[in-house]
Amino acid sequence: MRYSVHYLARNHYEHPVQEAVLDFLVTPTETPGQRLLGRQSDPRFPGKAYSYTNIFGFEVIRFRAEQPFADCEFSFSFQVESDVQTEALPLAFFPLEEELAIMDSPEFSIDHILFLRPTPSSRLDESQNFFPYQRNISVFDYLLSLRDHIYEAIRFEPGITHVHTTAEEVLAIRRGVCQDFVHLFLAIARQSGIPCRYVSGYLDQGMQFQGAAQMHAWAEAMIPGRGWVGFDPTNKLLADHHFIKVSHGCDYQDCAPLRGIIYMGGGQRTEYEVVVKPENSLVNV
Amino acid sequence: MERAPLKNIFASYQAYDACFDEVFAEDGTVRPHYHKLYELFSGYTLRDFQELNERTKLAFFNQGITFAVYSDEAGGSERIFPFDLFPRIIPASEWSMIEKGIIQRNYALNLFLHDLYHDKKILKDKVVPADLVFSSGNYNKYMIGHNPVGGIYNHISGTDLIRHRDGKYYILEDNIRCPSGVSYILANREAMKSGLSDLFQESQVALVKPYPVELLATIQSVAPENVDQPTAVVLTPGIFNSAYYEHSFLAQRMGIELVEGRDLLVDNDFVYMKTIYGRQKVDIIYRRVDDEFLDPMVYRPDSMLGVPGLMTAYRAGNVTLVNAPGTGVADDKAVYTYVPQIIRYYLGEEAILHNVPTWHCEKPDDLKYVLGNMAELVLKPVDESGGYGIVIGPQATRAQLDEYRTRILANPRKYIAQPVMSLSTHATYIEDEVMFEPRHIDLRIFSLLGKDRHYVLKGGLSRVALRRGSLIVNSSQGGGSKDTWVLEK
Repeated sequence: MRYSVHYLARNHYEHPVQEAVLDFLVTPTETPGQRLLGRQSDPRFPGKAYSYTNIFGFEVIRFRAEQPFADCEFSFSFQVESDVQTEALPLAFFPLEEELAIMDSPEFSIDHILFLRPTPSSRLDESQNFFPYQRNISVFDYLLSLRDHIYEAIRFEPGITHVHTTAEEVLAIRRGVCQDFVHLFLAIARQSGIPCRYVSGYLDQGMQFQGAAQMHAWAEAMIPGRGWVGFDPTNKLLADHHFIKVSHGCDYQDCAPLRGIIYMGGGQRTEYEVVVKPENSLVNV
Repeated sequence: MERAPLKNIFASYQAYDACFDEVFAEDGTVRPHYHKLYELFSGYTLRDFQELNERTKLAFFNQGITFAVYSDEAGGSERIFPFDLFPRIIPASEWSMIEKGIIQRNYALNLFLHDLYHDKKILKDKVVPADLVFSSGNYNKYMIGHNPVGGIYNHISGTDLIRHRDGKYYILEDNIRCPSGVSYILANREAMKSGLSDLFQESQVALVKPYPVELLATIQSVAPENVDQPTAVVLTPGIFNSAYYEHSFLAQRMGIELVEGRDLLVDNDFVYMKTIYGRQKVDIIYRRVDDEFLDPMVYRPDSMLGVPGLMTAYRAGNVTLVNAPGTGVADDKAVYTYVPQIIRYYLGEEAILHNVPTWHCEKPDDLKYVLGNMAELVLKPVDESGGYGIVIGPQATRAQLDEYRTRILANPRKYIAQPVMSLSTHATYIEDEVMFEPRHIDLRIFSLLGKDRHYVLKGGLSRVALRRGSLIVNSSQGGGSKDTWVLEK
């Protein structure tokens, strides 16, 4: 499956900005099932760009202002090909006892410690005890039902939560957007000792998925002996070739598409636009 | 009274019970390494001594040495660091043991830090509990997989020691983030020299003057590769920081620039200093800004003290930060109790300097001992900071101890126990009393670790609890300090 992805951010500041550093984490990454075929960018910004690799191995494009400015616009286009399949997944798993033995080994928890510890966004009071893993079914089967549970429990509703909303709060108000679904998924899976990471990326806009209008979020969990598998609690799906991965991290804070330090006074206005088009749209009709 | 020789004032000296006195042995005789000084002081009249005390204090004023007190009534006022004229003396034989122990400790903690940010072998081998390390909140994910130049993390250490009533030195705390206080060591010495210059000639006191030169050489040894004439700077949070005097003092003694975050910028992963001649590349930053304020792009976005983009420049290897970020995971109170095991694990040696003995209740033998001796021990949870949940056995009621026993038994892994330690005392001139009295002291030692080099400053900051009986030596709480003489032989 081939996609053309377009990301645009447009900012207007009330007073001219003297100093600014802006980081964009929007480039589709390369995975065994996903290839970046081409890229174009068209920044309207008075400064240079360079890129660096963040601590999780993903490309970040950084801009630093060299002159004062009041308006700026960043436009990026990518051509991506994905053939991530999910159908064959469950067959490759280990027997339950082996899974649990791997999960209980100190090596497993120490090697994946970053994705086992709660973060401020993915913290949940242990007494909540919302749908914990009972260790009587496989980790994969449990995560499928956790995903479905969250999908049923939380209503997708933009504008209620914000980027600092915690899993605890989401569980209380039972509404939110993709990052809230994911933070809750992470919190619960991690409490059960399953390493789990936040994934940021794009979603095929030809499929009526929830959250496709902006950058999307889903979770990847480490299935013992198998590897990382993507779960989307917002759409009750496994991540397949409709999901274009950009980055992963401990939570939203590690994956924010735009992050910056801007020294300014007064207000600002920001607009984002994400367009993800299958290149051969006949496939999805 | 005025003509009375000082010896008579010493005659009324009453050492505390159950404490090691640095100057006087238990039988009241003066310890051999204090003989010369004692003779000199004994020859002075009280007026001589008071004059000397005044002159030395003046030398302090003239050096402009102050520190800010945040919680002072005046609000951020500056004070002169109280200074005591009677120096602490450490004989050469004791010092050589301390120095070896500090070097050993620094190397082991450095290997520990490298391991924690790479393979984590010590955790997988269960020598140090993984939970203890990761729950401390000091594990810095931005350091994972990063290789600092020369493999050095803890370039500068400030190690706190005390001398217990058994006469042995014990490590109380490691400080390997941004330890402060070294400027007072140098300033104390300057002041003392103005007062007691004759005695310095005779006593073969080791010099403390080389420290800034050694510090500069140490940080230059870890310059990024392929940089010929590295530019180093001291990064300070600014004039409102309590240690600002020290930041400017060290920068000036090393002959390098003192900068604030706003004086630096990062472009294309290189760090530059803004100067009137334009940009100048910076290769080494001796930063006195805490980790979480270093770079608002990755840590606290509200930090105005740091430099946006600094951590990516650091991770790209284009600038060296001294000390490395993330060292706080190894000077944590809970990790401290495992340092003897850490030394054994990486160096295959026994610790030369003792830790305060610690019993871990997770070990059955230790648990048995702790439950049998609760009334004599200090009991602490391993993962709480700031003194929460600590019970001091000798001061606790029967009911409190019984309640604590239940808590320990419910979750033995969570608790440790230590003996009640006593700080040694030192004869200290008390102006209000016009005589020498014993006061509790500790000792902070500064040491350096660079690429293929190490250095321990032959001297130290002996902090004095100026209130009678007090154990609190912190300068913010009425502590003073003494010049500390390390004898060459």
